Amino acid sequence: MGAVLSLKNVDKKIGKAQIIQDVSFDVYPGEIFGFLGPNGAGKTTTIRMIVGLTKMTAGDITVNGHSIATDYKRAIEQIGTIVENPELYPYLTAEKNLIHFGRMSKNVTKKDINDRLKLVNLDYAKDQKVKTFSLGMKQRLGIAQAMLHRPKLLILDEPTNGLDPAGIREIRTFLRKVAKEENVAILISSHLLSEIEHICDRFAIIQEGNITQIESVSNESDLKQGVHSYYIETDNPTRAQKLIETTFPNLTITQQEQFIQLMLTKEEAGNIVTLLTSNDVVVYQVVLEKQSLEERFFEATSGGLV
Amino acid sequence: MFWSLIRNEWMKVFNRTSTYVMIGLLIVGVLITAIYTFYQQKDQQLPSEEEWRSELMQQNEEYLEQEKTTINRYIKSHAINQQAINEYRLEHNISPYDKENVWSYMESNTSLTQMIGVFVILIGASIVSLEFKQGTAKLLLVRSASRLQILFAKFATVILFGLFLLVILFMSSIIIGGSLFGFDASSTHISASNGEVFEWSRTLYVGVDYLSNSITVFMLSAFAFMISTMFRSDSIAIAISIMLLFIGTMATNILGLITDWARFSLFANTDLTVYFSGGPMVEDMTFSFSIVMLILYLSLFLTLAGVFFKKRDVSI
Ligand SMILES: Nc1ncnc2c1ncn2[C@@H]1O[C@H](COP(=O)(O)OP(=O)(O)OP(=O)(O)O)[C@@H](O)[C@H]1O
Ligand SMILES: [Mg+2]
Repeated sequence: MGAVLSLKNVDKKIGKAQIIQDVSFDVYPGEIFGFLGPNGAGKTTTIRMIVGLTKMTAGDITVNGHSIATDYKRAIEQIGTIVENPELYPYLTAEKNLIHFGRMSKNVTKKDINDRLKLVNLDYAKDQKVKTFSLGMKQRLGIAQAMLHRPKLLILDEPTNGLDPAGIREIRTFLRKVAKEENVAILISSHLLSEIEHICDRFAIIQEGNITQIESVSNESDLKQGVHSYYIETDNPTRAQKLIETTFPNLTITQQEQFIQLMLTKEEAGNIVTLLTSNDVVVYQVVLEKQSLEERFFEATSGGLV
Repeated sequence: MFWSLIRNEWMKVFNRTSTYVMIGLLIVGVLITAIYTFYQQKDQQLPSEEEWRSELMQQNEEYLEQEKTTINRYIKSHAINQQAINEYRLEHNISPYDKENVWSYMESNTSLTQMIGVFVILIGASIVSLEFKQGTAKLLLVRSASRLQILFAKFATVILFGLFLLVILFMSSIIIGGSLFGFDASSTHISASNGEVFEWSRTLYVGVDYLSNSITVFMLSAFAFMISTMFRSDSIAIAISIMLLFIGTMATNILGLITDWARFSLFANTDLTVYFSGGPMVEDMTFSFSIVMLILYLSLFLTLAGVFFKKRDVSI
């Protein structure tokens, strides 16, 4: 399937400063794409160019084949967005805000508005003015606003900014659902690695206006072949360590409180659990420590990122 | 689409408290002038025919003297016109004193259009810049409506709002003035320009007077709209426009004493009643000249607003 969003060699200069340089990436239907970079890297600027708030200096951006530069109306119709903060009309109620933006698109009915309010759990507050809203409520209303006209591409600039953990999880599940069920392409920017790790399928790293790499979040194939770090919790770590040392003399074992840590393949891990249980050591848990995105991130950027 | 955009703007204007404060102040303004006029005329005795005749004749002697001696063009034409009016009154036996009625009250009430002017300028100056201040421009502009459509829907809303306030002023003046002074409309209004006299029915004159006053309001709100769109700041736009609203005409009058070029000033052309009453600022100006100038100014304001609004990057 073709890309919904496609950036090709996009540049942005403001005065003499090169804010964005040669940025290219594609986002596909049903995919959540992360746009990761530290403060001031150029995430918001790139998003502004995608939605036409700022003109690019060079390059092209297309949405389902329609260029933002030359076919703006057709391109923008397919995008729903929040740029930077979810700023809505503070003196209008939640519902009126949606009525306002609904009127600006074709075929948004009263029912669509109510559905979207329910979807983001705000139907209880629909007659409340937005100035009385908490940041989390605004963020959710912003998302409802962005999804009002059933866009094919959803662009959210730091959507979990200001949300509590429950709110973050809620949005995460919600976005996954939207991507899967409505086959929407979603672009999310963030400066938090953990967030990208939890929500995205793929991500690009942007630093000082340059894309330094694009990759997938989970490399499940790694787990099948490679050796990984395992933590095993038992009722008697000292005895467990002795048992393992005698049976597998070439493994290095370190003991950390109730845990022993060792580098194993999947098969070896299985054998060790059998060994321990058959010798009456109670195994509480076996934890596989994935190398976190954060570590890969530091490797990739040689620690240059927060 | 355009209609939806106007409905949106209207909804936003009417969901703000300040709008209701404006409407309230306008009605209070009408109440105050009405009550003031009421107490002014309560114990007033209309002078007898002999009295006003001799008064007018004496006035005319003074005006004639003025006409001969003054070097100020405005004072001179004023003296000529007043003489013409007074002679017309003497000839047709129309007293300058008149029992107060709703129309004469409304004539004295036209200064309240200045208040409308201030309010419409406030709305015109903020309707674009507020979107940037609030950050909502980002959501407003990323839709299929073009920037120009959005801009002109906003301008149309400012004008509609001005008309709305005008209707409020008109209605409340008629209701309050009518119940205090009655609806007698038999008397007439007399004006003169270049020594030529015009006699108006009161109702017609009030209508023309209000409309003509609204032209200044209309042009200045277009001006405020342009400034705030160009600078994205309502305070600059409000300050300049309100200053012009109050001193623009006076300043142009002074300019008119120095040079004939004053005819190209906006304010030399906003008051179209001068062609029936008092005469234009520069002698050979005509009604159609003023209309053309107004159209040119309006196109200039709107074009500049459009160019700036369309071009600029939104980086809020
Ligand atoms: N209008 C402007 N004029 C000059 N420089 C600008 C302008 N807008 C942005 N910049 C610069 O461009 C760079 C990128 O800014 P941008 O807002 O895109 O960063 P960001 O990745 O969104 O950061 P954050 O995580 O803080 O939101 C910054 O160095 C900023 O100073
Ligand atoms: Mg940003």
